[in-house]
Amino acid sequence: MTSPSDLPSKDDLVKKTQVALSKLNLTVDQTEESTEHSNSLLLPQYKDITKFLDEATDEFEIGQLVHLESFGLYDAMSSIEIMDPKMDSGMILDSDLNKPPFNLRARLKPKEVLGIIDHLFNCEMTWHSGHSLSQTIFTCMYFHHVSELNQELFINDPNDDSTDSDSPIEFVILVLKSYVFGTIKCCHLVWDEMTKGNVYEEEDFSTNKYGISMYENFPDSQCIKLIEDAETWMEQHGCKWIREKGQHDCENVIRAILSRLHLRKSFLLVLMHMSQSRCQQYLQAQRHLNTSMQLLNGIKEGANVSLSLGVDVSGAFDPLINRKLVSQTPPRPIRLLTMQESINEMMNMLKSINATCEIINYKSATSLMNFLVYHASQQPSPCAFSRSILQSTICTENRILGKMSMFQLIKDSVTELTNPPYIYFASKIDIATSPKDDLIDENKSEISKLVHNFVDSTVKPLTDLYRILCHNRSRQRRNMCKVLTDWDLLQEEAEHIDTKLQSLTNEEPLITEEGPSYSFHLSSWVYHRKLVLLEDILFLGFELDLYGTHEYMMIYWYIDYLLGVHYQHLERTHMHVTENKKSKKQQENLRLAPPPTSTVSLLVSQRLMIIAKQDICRGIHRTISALRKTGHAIFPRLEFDDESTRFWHRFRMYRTLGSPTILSYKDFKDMTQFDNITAMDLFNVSLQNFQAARSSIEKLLAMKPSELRMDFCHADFTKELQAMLRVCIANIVSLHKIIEECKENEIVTSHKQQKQKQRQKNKKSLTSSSVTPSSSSIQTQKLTSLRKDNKVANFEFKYHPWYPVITLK
Amino acid sequence: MDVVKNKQNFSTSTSSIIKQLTNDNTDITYVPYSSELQLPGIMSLIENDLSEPYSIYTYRYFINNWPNLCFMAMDQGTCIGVIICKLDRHRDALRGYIAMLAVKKEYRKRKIGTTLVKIVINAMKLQNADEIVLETEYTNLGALSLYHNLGFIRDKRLYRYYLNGVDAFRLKLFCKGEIPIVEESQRVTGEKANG
Repeated sequence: MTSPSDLPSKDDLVKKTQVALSKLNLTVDQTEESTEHSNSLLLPQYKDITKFLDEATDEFEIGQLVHLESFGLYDAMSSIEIMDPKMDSGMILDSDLNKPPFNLRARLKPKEVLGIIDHLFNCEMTWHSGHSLSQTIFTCMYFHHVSELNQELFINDPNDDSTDSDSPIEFVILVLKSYVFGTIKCCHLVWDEMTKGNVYEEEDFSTNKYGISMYENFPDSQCIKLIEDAETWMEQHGCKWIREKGQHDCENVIRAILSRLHLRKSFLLVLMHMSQSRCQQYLQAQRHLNTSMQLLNGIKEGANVSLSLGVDVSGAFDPLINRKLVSQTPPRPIRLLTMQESINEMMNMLKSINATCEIINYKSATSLMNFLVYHASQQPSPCAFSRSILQSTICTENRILGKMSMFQLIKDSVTELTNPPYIYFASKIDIATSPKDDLIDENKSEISKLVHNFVDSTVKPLTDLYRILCHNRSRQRRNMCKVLTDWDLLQEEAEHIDTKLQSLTNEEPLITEEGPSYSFHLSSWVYHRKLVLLEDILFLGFELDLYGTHEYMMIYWYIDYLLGVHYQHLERTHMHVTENKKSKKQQENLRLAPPPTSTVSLLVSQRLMIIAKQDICRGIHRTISALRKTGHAIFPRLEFDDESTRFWHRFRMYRTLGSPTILSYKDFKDMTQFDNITAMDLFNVSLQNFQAARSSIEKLLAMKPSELRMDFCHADFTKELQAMLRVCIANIVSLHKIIEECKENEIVTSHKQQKQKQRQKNKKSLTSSSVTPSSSSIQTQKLTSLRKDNKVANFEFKYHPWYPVITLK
Repeated sequence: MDVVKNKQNFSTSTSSIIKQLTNDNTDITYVPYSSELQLPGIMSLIENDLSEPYSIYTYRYFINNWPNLCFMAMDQGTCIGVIICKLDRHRDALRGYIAMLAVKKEYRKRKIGTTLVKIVINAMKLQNADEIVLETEYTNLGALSLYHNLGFIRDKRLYRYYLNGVDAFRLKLFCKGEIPIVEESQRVTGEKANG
């Protein structure tokens, strides 16, 4: 081992390195440049500096490292080792030398054209699924040469010794060219959308073009024309030629080529219409979406014949093309989607875009929010492009759905839940044209000012929330945690505004058992939204598989608490909404809105949903408590784990909030100990919880989409309710079984215990000083005897990602 | 430009941890990293194992900066297990990070990985770490259960974290107890405990 003193001094090395670097001339000698490379496309120039490096590092000792002061992990990870084929893209590989030559002038047979079309489609969908352009679309050699695919290419080719029996060049210069161009234009429109920054670059999607052109100057409309020309030629000449060749599968080939051309055209039209500003052409887009879906279904149904028709063309795709592109990190080999997977990927995308087109028929703020919630929870999760489109649709430049103001949206959102006095959100004109009364006027403008302040403060938290619901599921949870504080602050501000509004409107409080109660219209809405966030953050932890089984009880117990708070809050809101109907004299001056039946039905449904969730969560954590008593849910102690520390961290994001009150680990322990309650009783109350949840869900299933404000997602909502129903039923069945088993065991146990007691009594009578067994030792006895079945609690999220079915296995 | 010399901090406390943790496993010895000459053995072990190829600079970044948080499991002269870590500030916490952990296939199921992790947990705790984190593929059940058994929780899910498009979990172990809360929690009125 070398001691530090033997090493050349730091200053010395730094100086030498600087001198050496100053001598390094990286300009490539022009005379050395090779011009005869057939594969010179995109190829950078290289200069050999091996000798220079060897000389410069001559005096280094093992273990020494020269680096910039700023050398960090990212630099380290994106650095490459020269002459390691996995990282060094400049290295000439054997596979480079043996690469099949690509011949742009080849007259392709129809099946070969089909092969390229399908492979390119797989590349396109693989890009959509999150991989880089360099490893997908850019691997297609025809992509890079598409503009050269002209008649001249073949006419002036001295090597073209084609005969009449060879394929017409139109298969290349029309069919293939228009398809490739169509694909490029589609990718370009997608790229435009994806660079708006709505989704996470590199995580959701990769937009790096590596400086390669997507033929930005070639107009979309011209591309449509080109595809149409190809379609016409196919119908008039191409089909005939294929039939004349008379192969047995000629009709399949014709159908396959035509359907792909049609699909490309209609998909391009979809994207063109979607890209117009202010959602103006969504109706047209939807027409082409329907056509696209039909065509795609046709391709999917004929999959067994049409997907195997294509023939590979040697050299048409170069999977190693990324080696020639400047990239930050060395590429890893990827797997392209198969044809079947690509079709599914595209189908999901089209469905999602179609749903996005639907929502511009705005019904209510709540139904818009509900749509987003269900869209966000879809499995498989919506692709990055459709999530970006959705975000752009919902909010671009503070315009909602291309037409609405944020003010209107916030007004609707608040009104639908808490039904504030009309005057709160009345437009300025309304205020101005009201009967002349200076005092009232002043009052009204003051109210309007306050409400506008509230709206201004709400814009960002609310748009953030909409955006979050368009992120990938993991990011949704992380970002919800991040915006909690914003909603908390907004609630505080809204409470101040509410208080001022109370006096401005001379609001008469409701007299309740706990004293006078004011409506707090604005902050009640904020609190509701905040509570949904608090609950969903914990629920999403289950969906993302963040909790260990040993944590379930704690988490469900906490959600139970949050849902309880939420229920009470909505109960309170409900009371104010309905009580307000008996309008007081002064309020009549403020033009009270008509009886808010929609608000009432929304509150009823929200409360039913919350109580259903709460009953399920309560049933779950009580069942676990009972199973701990019976010994079926005893989790081994984990080294370095401390439950109270874990409790603190799991709920740390709630600690800084003004409301609701944070519960402590002690609360958790105190409230889940159930020392005086037997396991059997706990099983029975859990059973009641699941039964209660079941009846709440059934009530919700009977409600109308408009009452629920599920206009755009009623099918998804119903599906969720049915999943919850299954969870309840399965747990009820399981609990009955567990109760039965416990009863049987108890008979055995009590029998044994009686015997034991008898024995102890006998002993006692013998030695009066002996200590009676403590209740706890009986407890353990009972425990072990119950555990004789050797079963343990098993949690399966088979119906709903948030609620398990608990069984003994 | 800066030249980093091979730091050779070998604290006596660490060696005593190793002794404590490994006295029952006689054929395998655990040693701290001491020289770049050990690097080729470490690299070949990890390259066999991990989905992501790392350049030598990634190893050097960790090992040259935190040589005392790199430990090897040796069978005679061969390195059959290794753990590479770092420890630095992350926001307001001193965060330990387990960058790489690998055990040769033939030596698995012998708690060698667990022992290596325990050694670094203790070493990091001695250096006052608040928390220890790492990432692992959500499909890597072996690693997930190893860390779970030591008390790590799954703190976050990272979407498409690895270049192969697979999600990862950020695992976390808390080294310090509950941070005292000023306000004592109060029961909210009307909260139904037995409803």
